[in-house]
Amino acid sequence: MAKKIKGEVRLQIPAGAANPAPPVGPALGSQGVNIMEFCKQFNAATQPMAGLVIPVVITVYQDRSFTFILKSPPASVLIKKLAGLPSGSKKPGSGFVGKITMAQVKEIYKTKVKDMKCNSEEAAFRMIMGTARSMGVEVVP
Amino acid sequence: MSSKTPELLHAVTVHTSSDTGYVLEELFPSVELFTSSYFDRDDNIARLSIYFENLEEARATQALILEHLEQWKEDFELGPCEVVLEEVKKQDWSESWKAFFQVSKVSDRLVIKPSWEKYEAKPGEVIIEIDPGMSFGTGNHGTTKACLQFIDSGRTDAPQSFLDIGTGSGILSIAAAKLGCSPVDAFDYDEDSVRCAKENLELAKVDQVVNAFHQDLAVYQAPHTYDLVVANILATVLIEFADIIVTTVTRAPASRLIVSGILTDQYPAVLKAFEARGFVEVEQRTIAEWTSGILKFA
Repeated sequence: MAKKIKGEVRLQIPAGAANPAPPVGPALGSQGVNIMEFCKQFNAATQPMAGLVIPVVITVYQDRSFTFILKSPPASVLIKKLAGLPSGSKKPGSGFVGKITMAQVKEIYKTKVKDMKCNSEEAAFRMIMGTARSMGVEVVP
Repeated sequence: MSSKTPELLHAVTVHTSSDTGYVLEELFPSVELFTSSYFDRDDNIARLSIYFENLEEARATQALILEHLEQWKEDFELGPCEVVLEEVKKQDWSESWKAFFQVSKVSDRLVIKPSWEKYEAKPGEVIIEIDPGMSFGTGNHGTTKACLQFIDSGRTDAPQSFLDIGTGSGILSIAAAKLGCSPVDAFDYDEDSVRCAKENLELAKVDQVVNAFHQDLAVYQAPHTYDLVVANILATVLIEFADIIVTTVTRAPASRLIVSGILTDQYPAVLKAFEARGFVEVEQRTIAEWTSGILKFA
C-alpha cells in the first residue's frame, strides 16, 4: 500500500512498560494512533530488555496507521554506564564527576552509529564527547 | 509525581527545528530528562515535551533546561529553541485517540465503521468494520478510498473472483468479500500486514471467504486468473512488476484491474506501462494528491 508519512513520534519508554499514561498517551493520542495496539506491540517486543529505557520511533502515516522501530540507548545513558555513574552532573559547568576514555567514545559510537544523524565519524565523536562534557564526564586519551 | 489526580498536566515543551530536536533528544537524558517528541515531516519542526502533574516541578524543569541550553549552545550547533510551559487536559488517552475515526460512507454501498461506533445499515449499504492499527488502510486515505469506490462500481451481479495485491490492513478484500466476490485472495510482502489483515478479516467475519497470505510479488505465480484485481502498492512497484500483475487478470471484457498508491504526477507513467500491456483506462479518480485508475483489456 502507498504510505505517506505524516510525522514521527519519538519516545523513551521503560522496556515492557508502555501504557496509555503520559508520555505515551498525550504523544500518540494527539496523532490519532491506536495507543493500546502500540503498547501491546512495544511491550511484547521489549520484554527481554526489562530494566532499560528504550528509545522508540513511531512513524505515523497519513491515515494514522503506524509502524515503530526500537533504537539504541541515548549516548548519555551509555556514558553513565561506562563511567560508572548513577547520574550526570545536573549543574552545567560545575566540574567533572567522572571520566571515560577515547576508546570508550568509539565504543559508544559503534553502538549508536546506525541511529546517529551526523554527517561524519568526527562529527559523531564530537557529539558524544560534547554530551559527556555537558554531563560532567571528562574524556581522557 | 503527586498521587493527586488533577484535571491538568503541565508540559515543558521545547519548540525547535528537527535537526536541533535530534541533538536535544540525545542530550536530555544526560540530565535525567526523558522526552516525548513529535517531529513533523512536512514542516521540519520538532516538539519535545516532558509531562508533570506538579506545576512547581514543571517550572523547575523549565529552568533547568534553559540553564543547560546556554551550555549546550556553546558545545553544539543548536538552532533557536523556545522552552514553554503548557497545560494539557488530562483525559483517558486509551480512548481519546478514537475521536479521529468515525463512521464514513466511502461509496454508494460501502460504509467504513470502527468497532466501537454504532451504525445501522440503510437498505443496500454494506458495512466494513475495521479498526486502525499497525497496517495501512483504514479507508480514510485517498488511495484506499478510491479503490473502495472502484471495487463497488466494478462489482457486477455475476460471480467474480478477486485478488488483492499488497493487502495491508485487508480492507479491500473485506469490501470485495462483503460485496459477494468469491474466491478472494490477498497477499502482502510485509508479514506484519498479513497478521493484521487476518485479524481484521476475523473481525469482519470474512476470514472463511478471504485467503490472506505472505507473498513477494516479484516471484508471484497466480494459481488462476481473477475477474477483479486491485494492486494498491506504489507507482515504482506497479511499473516494475507490471508483467506479473497483468498475468493475474482474466482476459474477459468484464474483467477489471485497479491500480492505486500512485502520486498524481506519477500516474501517466503507470498508465503507460499497463497500456503497453494491452489495457485501457476505464476511469481515473484523484483524491488529495493520489490518483487511482480502473483499467480493462483493450
